[in-house]
Amino acid sequence: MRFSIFQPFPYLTENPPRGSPVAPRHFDPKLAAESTRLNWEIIDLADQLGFDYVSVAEHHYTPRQLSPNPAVTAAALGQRLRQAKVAILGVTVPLRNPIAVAEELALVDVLTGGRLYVGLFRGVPIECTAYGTSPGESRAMYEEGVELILRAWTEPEPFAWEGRYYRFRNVAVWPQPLQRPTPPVLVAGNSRPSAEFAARLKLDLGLSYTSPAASAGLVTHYRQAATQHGWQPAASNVLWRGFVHVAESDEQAQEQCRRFGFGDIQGIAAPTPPQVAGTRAIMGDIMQSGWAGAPPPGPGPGVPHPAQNPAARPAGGRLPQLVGSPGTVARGLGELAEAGIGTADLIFLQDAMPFELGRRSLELFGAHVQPAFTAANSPAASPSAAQSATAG
Amino acid sequence: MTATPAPADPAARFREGSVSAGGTRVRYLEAGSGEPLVTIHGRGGLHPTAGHALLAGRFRVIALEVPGFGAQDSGLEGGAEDVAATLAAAAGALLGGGDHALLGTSMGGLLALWWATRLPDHVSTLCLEAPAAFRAGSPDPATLSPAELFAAMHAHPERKLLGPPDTAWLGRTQALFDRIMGEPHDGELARRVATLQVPTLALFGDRDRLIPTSGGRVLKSLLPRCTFAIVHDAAHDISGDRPEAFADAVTDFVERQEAWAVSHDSAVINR
Repeated sequence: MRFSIFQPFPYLTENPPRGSPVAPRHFDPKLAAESTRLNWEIIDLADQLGFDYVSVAEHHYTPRQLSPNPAVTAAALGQRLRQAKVAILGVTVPLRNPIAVAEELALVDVLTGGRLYVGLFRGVPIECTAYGTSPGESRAMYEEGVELILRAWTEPEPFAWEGRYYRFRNVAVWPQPLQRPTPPVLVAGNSRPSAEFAARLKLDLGLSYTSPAASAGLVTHYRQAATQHGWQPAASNVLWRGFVHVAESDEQAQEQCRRFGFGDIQGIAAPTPPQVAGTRAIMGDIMQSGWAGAPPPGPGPGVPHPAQNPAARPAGGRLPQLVGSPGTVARGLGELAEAGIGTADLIFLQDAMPFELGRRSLELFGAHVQPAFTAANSPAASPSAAQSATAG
Repeated sequence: MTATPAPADPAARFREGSVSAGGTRVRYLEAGSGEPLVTIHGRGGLHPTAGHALLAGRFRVIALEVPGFGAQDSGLEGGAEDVAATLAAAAGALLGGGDHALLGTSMGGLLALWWATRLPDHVSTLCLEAPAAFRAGSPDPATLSPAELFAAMHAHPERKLLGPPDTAWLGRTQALFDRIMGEPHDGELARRVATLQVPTLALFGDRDRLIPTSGGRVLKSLLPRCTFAIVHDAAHDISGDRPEAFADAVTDFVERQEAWAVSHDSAVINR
């Protein structure tokens, strides 16, 4: 199994500002500078531990990820990382000009010496409002945008593109990626239609926060669809993203997660109390406009984040999957490997989690979990390898 | 649930005519007014698509029938260059020898290239829809199953009026078709188009499995003023699969040639 650390430069503070969007008045330059220093420290550690990738993503108007343009972040990573590759997981295609995306990513691949792994995503619903993108058309825009980006990297002659959502009359992308014909490309696959899309275009599959059982079902569907298109993906074609927290014991890890709300992904879109009514209206409109059957967000749109009310913690009541002692986390990874996951893109540090605890988690992972999976550098670890990992 | 209305017949707005050219009677369909746009059909015969009907809203569209592809044999001899000469003479008779834009589809694209090399001073703009010229990289349709052939032709059959193939007509026209198509790469045509200064738009559907988009690269390498355009989510029948996109592209290129790359759409939302 390969390992990636998902570290999109979160704004690190025990009391992160909340909102949807988060008001820029909360931005503290000193805190941002210190967060950046700490983010580099944990990235350097992951690089030293031999992580295969450091990944970033695109999100807007939030301190949770200071990476609205992940190509910029990735370019900086490429100059710093000694051995790890750079993964952008991913670009929010419907928000962007696909040709500009193709240009930026090709440039990043050149600047990193051909070390880029590309994720092309549709994005989260609320971010339709970032630049005024039609939510009902976002899936179709996304799929056309992905095909256009791939074409821009593989068409040797200048060409015009007459699409449904994009029209370009004179495309000739320079530079082209160093990796030919393209860098490895992943698309999100948390639904069957998405998995089919990945299979049709012969792209890697990205799953996020899915259980081993759900992951196995989607991987199976992906493989079946790929067979119909004349190819067979391996585990190395499947990536899974999730939170991980390793501590000396299961109880300690669970208590730390609950105390700091670690793993609460709904916080990304959580509004402040004054924003609740407006956010409910926005999310309701997005979902009714044809966001293609996506389930409503976790505790409900417009529900104030528990961090707004300390008495309401722990957040959501459900812990992330990979939480516990090294042995527990290793067993969890083994289950994901059995489900067909070849790369784990792991979140060790996020806003309210104290830096020292996140760093300690990564250290324990590197010392006691990672070796069991990377000794043979096999894409899927056996359950026996997971069980042999030293418990904390 | 509201039933989806059946597609309208694109040929309904066209009126039929015929003209004599060098002793051969050439049938045609005509619609619209304005600048003339002469079209040449593909293997399937003279059946204007929804895209052609939209073009008739902007041009005087004259859709020529290749003699021998109608109800009767034509007795026409020779290959693509000879057939193109006959068609060009027919257009000349209809237009009084004036300038015109030319649009060829598939087999008609091959004929249009020959036509343009013979009359470069009268063809103002050349548009090629999935042209069957220089097709060395294309699969042999005879090797495709009926289902594969259908998928190669049509990305959106729901937008069209499609009937079962007329196997008797296909058999009767096969020899003429083979003579027109000739070798996959015609060296003489390649030599002639190398000096062709007619602005040319070459359209390829990205789901076309008969004439794939790689053909656009070949044309760009051979024609000095070739603009290669990919129509997304269209198979071989581009003007039927995405008629609005097809008509927009052809219209814009005929009117502006390479300057079509310059946007005249205002960025102002409100003054």
